[in-house]
Amino acid sequence: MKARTAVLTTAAALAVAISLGVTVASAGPEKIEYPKGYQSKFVSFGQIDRYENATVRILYASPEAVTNYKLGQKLPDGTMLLIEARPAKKGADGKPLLDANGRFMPEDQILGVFVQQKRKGWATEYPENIRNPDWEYAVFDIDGTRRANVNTQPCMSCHKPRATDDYTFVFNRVMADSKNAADMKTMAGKKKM
Amino acid sequence: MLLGGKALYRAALAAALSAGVALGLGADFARAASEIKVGMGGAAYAPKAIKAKVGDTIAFTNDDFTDHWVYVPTLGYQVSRAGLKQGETFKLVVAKPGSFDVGCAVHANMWATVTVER
Ligand code: HEC
Ligand SMILES: [Cu+2]
Repeated sequence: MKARTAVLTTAAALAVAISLGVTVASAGPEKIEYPKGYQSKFVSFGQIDRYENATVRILYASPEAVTNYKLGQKLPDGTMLLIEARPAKKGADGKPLLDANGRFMPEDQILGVFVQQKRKGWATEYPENIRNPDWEYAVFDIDGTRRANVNTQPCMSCHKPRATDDYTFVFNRVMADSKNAADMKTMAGKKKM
Repeated sequence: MLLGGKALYRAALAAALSAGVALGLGADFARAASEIKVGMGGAAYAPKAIKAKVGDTIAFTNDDFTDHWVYVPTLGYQVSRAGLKQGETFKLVVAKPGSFDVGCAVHANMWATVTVER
């Protein structure tokens, strides 16, 4: 009787350990560490005006992603790309205000920080039809709190068809322009990590 | 003093010239901004090469049978309009000269270019 309980307890503990082990191995987003101080350390590669929800997405790249960028090649190992989402300033009619170039103007409030980062060997745990080799995705609050309940598989599915731009919608296209790449390399050179 | 001969001719010419300049400027200021229609049938922008002048509106209409998502990755022109459903139109006023690419976030091969002149 005693022996049997012991076996059962061991089995239960093992099951817990295994399930924990599996959870840890598949908790991909946790591999991405919040990039503290990105606003001064990263290089901005623009601002997306989102018309359907009147928000502004300020785009940032880690400086090595810029300095090590080579036209026609995969983005460098360690590359981190980031979206800082803010509401757009609105007029009395509730519509976004436009500056002289027809651009939205961001409010100070930050709605969320969306990150994609690549490192050799990452993302191997996902099924082939969604995985973006070697990219992981994560979402944070501006204070660095991880939004642990966000399912990041839709991030992968939607970025998947952009394989020829190394799973990015914007960054690779901005950098493929030699003038942008030169300007951004100059900016990255001035950043202190 | 009466104007005669050459003096009269010169005055008339000057008046005509300044009227011409005024008209020209006026015409420029009054140039009605146009709306340029772009379709999306068969998951392809039509036309693919879009020409516009500063102040014009580009009206992307989803005349297709599936949802589209207009987005512009070009630095300085970046915009995005998610979830453009069948029958919906996304209107973009172009305020800055230059040229930019227009993609669709749903269809990786759906592209157009817009060239904006003064
Ligand atoms: C339904 C499609 C879709 C999903 C889902 C999606 N994205 Fe994106 N992502 C885009 C598009 C389109 C852009 C270009 C910017 C824009 O339009 O706002 C983009 C841009 C980005 C960028 C900027 C870098 C670049 O050039 O690609 C990051 C970082 C990013 N997404 C992270 C995420 C994260 C994290 C998630 C999941 C929480 C996610 N994305 C889910 C479509 C998607
Ligand atoms: Cu489309």
